[in-house]
Amino acid sequence: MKKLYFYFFSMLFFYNQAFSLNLCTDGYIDYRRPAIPFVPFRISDTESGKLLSPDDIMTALDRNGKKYSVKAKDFYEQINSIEFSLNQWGYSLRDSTGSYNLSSLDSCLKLLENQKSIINKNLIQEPVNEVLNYEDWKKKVKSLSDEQNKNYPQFKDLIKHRDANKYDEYISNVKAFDVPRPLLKKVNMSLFEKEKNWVFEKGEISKFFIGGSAGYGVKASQLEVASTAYAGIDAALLGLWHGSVVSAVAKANSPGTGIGHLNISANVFGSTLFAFSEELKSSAYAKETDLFNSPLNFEKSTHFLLGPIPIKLTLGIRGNNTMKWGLDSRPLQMQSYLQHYASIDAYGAAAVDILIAGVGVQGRILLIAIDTRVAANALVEYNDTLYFKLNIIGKTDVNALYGDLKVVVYTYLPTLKFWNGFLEKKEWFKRLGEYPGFKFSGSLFDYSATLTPTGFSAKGDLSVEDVADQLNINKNLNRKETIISLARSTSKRSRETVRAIEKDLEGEENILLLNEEKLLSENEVAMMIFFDDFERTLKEIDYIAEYL
Amino acid sequence: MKIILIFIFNIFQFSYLHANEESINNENLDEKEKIYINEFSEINNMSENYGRLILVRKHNLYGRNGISQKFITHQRKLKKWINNWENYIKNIEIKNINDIYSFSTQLQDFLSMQSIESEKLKIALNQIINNSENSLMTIKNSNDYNKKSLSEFTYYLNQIDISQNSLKNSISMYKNNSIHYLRQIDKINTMGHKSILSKIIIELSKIRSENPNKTLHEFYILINASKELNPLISKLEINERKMEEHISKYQYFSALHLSERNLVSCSKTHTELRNKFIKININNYTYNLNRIKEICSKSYDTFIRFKRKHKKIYDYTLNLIQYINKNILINCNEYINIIHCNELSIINSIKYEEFTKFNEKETSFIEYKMNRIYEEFKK
Repeated sequence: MKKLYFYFFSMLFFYNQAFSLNLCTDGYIDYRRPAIPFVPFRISDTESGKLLSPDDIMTALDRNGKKYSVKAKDFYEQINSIEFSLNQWGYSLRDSTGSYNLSSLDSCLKLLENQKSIINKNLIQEPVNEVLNYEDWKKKVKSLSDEQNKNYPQFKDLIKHRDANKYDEYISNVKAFDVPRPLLKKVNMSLFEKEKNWVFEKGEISKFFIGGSAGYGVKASQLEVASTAYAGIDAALLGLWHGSVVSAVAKANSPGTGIGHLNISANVFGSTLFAFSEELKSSAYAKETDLFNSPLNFEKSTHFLLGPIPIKLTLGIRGNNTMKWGLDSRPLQMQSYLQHYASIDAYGAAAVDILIAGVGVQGRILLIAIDTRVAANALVEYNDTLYFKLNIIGKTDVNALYGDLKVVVYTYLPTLKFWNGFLEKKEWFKRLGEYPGFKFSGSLFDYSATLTPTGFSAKGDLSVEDVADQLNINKNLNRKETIISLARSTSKRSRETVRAIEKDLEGEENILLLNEEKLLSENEVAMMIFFDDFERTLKEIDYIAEYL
Repeated sequence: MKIILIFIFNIFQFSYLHANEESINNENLDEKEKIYINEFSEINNMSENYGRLILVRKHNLYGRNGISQKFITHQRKLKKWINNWENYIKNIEIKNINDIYSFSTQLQDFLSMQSIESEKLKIALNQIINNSENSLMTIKNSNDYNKKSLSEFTYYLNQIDISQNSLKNSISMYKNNSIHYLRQIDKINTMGHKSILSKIIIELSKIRSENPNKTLHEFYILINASKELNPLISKLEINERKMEEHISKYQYFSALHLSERNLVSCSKTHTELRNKFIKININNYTYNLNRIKEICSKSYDTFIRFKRKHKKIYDYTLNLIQYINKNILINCNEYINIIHCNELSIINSIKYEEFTKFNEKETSFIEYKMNRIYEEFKK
């Protein structure tokens, strides 16, 4: 019997077209050609070419190239059904080309050219983006607090013992360091708060999607300092799954008197991994907590159409994920730190339940590699007078969504040059995702502010809301009117201040001051002469005595 | 003329403001928002900065108890002290050998008077140095401001710089001069003692003495002993008065530290004095020795009685706060008193039960702060 070479076919189970179509074909471009006529393969022996009856047993090669026996009827039913499907798309198993792209994600086509170089660049850590690691940060905090405590006790240690209401009675008449000029509304020292949030979203939920977020909120009042920090990653895989990969929230408060509190919770895939609630009984509290330091693994399966061919696809994400939370709290001051490292891949595994066709997944997509650090401190400080100080800093390094993931179905088919006796591998593939990558390095937020009884100053990410109360800006105005109002108030404030300073500069006391150095020098010269005269007189007496 | 200038200034301001508003449009709102808030922040920093300058100038430098006033008073006293040396030395006269012992008594009185005065001068100089350091610290605590953001006021910024530098330099000069005077006082003290001996040599050479060298040697020992011991005795005498003052004001820690210091210097002075006394055998020193004993034991007893008055240290502190609040004149509507008013407010508003929890360090700190406020604002 002539050797039969042709004979490989994929048989596909789990044909659930409606389900997979709904989930996985949105946004794909199908390279469908005009249909071609269906010419079925004849049931024949692959060795001899001799016609076989449907129940004859024949030998075929499986997807790994190994021989196995199968009923001719079953084999040709599968191969002809695939041939029929491909013919409807304008392709045929008889085509001589080895590989066909049946579809790809439309949003990625234009980015294909850049793909390679971007992957090569990958995770370059630039020194400019370097932020302190947790240990260095702790050292910095310690050295600062040591320095503060060197001259212990200090007034800022005393302020936590006072009765705030009583204090206000005493202090109400006292103005802060300020140029004497018409004052604007006196700043209310009762509460000072700021919140900063950062959100990052890339990709499409129906395909691959990744989102990161980090935030920090701190508030300080004469009685208490509190902070909240959170960070998290959301992801979506081809619409199979969308949700929170990891998240963590930490809250702490540090009152001037009484007991502080610390609450931390961390979740992975929606379930609580770590929860911590503690009363901060001692007046100074420092803690470092590993919220999690664990590999991530998550899988989800679906039925998937590769062009016209249904397969079972399992997609998953895996990677390493570490989150740390550090806190240094003292009465009326707090410094805290949240650091998140994650590197998460999406991977796929595909399967068909017959031996003759193989399905594979090639490449990978890096969903995210992230290093985010947010730190804040808030404190009530005594620097001759009462101050509130806030600092919020957030830095990140993100590399997301780059790489290439495709599902391939392959089988061995005769070349049609069967006189050579060669088998040829044929494959059909579908790109699940092909992304040039998204890269972000640098500052998420950077805000520092100081509030004194009559003044406010800040640097960094500022908004009109920060000063609206002090400048009496009407909150019902539209955005443009608000900015105009801000411009007017600032300009008025500047003019009043500069006029007051000008008046003082022209005042008698300042003129006296400008002459002070000269007068002091003259006085010093006179004193030197006085000392010298005295010295000379005594030396004359000493001289006479020595002579005697 | 001035009215016209103000008018022009106002028109300029109006047109500037108008131009500012004109430049705001829907596209640049975020950018403008940042610029104005930044300006607002910087103008507040500048205001605080200049506010501190005014405070230091008006209160610390030229105030009623300011550095300038203290320095002038001190300098007058220093000159007087130096003139006393000069006049005394010039006028030493020993006409007869019998005058020697009465002269030596008078000499001891003079030297001890000068010694007490020099200790007082040193205390005053140290106060000026402390005040200068605190003033420089108040200036240093200012928030810096960004001159670029306020570039439209460059002229004034330069003027502020000039005034600020002048203030810092002047205060530093007061401080450095005071340090220089401290050294000068020690130097003059040595010179004065030496020249007195020279003058005695000159005077002794004019009269006939049986054993001039012995007399001279006795004077030498006396002057040398005075030079070494008088400062110690003077300190003890000053401390005696101070101890009474501390006790009357319930200054527990000040009294405690003084008592500890006194114990050390009493034993030191006593030993040194006894050694000199044996060597020189001059009767007049017995007076001093007895006086030292008296000062030392009295001072110690007074402190022990004071210490037994209250069981808890915070009771002294509470009494001290009450005393000082009654005996100071401080106007907290005056912004130049802000630092002391703030400190006073905090101390006055500390709850009684908090006081009971304070450790010695904290209580002592409160006393120290209250003492400083008292020094500045006592009636």
